[in-house]
Amino acid sequence: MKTKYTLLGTFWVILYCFLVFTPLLILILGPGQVPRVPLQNISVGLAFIGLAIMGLQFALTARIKPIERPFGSDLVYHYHRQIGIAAFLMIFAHPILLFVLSTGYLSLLNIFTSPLRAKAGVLSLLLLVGVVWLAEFRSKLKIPYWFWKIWHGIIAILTMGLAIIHILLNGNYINLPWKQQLWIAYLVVWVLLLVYTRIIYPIKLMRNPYQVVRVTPERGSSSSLRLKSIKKSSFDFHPGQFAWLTAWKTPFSDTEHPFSLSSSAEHPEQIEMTIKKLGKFTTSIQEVKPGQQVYVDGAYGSFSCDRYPQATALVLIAGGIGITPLMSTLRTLADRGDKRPILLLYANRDWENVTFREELEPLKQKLNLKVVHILEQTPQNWSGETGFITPEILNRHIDSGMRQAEMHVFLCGPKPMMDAVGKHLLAVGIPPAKIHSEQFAF
Amino acid sequence: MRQKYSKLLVYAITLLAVALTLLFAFTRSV
Repeated sequence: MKTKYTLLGTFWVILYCFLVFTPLLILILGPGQVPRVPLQNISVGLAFIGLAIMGLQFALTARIKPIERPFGSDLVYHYHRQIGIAAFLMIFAHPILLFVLSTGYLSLLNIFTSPLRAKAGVLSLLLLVGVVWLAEFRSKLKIPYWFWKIWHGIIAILTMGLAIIHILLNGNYINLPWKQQLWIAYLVVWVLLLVYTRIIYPIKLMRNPYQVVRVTPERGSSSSLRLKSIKKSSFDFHPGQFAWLTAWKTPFSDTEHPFSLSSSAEHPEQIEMTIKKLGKFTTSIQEVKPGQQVYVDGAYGSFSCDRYPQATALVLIAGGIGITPLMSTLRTLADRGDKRPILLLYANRDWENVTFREELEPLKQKLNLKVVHILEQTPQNWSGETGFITPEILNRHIDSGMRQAEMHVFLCGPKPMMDAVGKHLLAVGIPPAKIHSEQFAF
Repeated sequence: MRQKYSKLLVYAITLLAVALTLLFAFTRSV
């Protein structure tokens, strides 16, 4: 399975590179361009590559499962963000280098007097600055996520449209009809991707609504929502994966939130999400009543033990509500009758707020499972582990038998905890390739 | 940890972009 994902991932990276650098190949191919000085060509070359990267950003966030599968959604979004900044700098270098070459270009910045091609270029650049600035400072500016997300898409497509107009009107580098057609094709693909993600996909989700079957209050200010597809057309998933949930609104509203599935993957007909009160949406979701209609888009993510069937021992490390994907893992393995040794290191603030505390007990009977609780605030007569997860705790519980086996570690929790435990795992000699985690930061 | 690979790809694409642009510029310019 790993080889399959590696091959698929390699294929996407090669295709991505081809599409990113194709514009430059187009520039090189074919006769008839007015010769330019090196600085002009550098300026244009970087802008073409930057624009191609920006265009591909639509594909990265279109939630196309075959693209997302080998990398994991968190990695795709992380890449989307970072390459976006790199592409922005390449595009921004375009006017800067021209101004360095000749101050005469500065007059093109006046959109009231400049030709249409320059107007399109300047407006496109201004919008691009806006897109990147809002994306970077959205949290600081306290702009609601859903509001930003809608405008991010709209401004991005306007930016690209104006950039294409700028290129077509300039004409020098795409003076042949086939070159123009290729850029128009790029634009058509971007628009189609946007139509797919904003119109076609929401329609698809609306046609398959889910119903809340049961709401179970859990320890740790959490609730488990049991959901089933009204049309009995639920998706299959792997333990550890997540899905996007939309409640009270339609999928068109773009107000969905990602939650790990906490139920067994062996029973996809009824799925469960366990949600902790952490913000406005997660607090209001606790008031959902059985019978309510919601929309679920899944399953996504690469954080699953199913991706490593060669593993002969599993170490699951959870911090607080980070238990949800690992609970799905345990429930799934129990349903499958899995007999591999499993160690669960479960860190919480206090004993009363240990989500699934009671449910873990019967799982010990069904699985070859050892559960170690680590508490920051301990009850009276507590003889277990205290404080945070440290290298000493890891060394104490990951025994030599597990270390000698093909052991894989799955880590989920708040970011500071994951960063700290990730370092501790490396410090105690666990190879990086055997440490798996997923960070939600959409 | 996995994010290192993503960063690596960003750096690789950026470097390749600069290198190819320079190649293009100095082979096609007057």
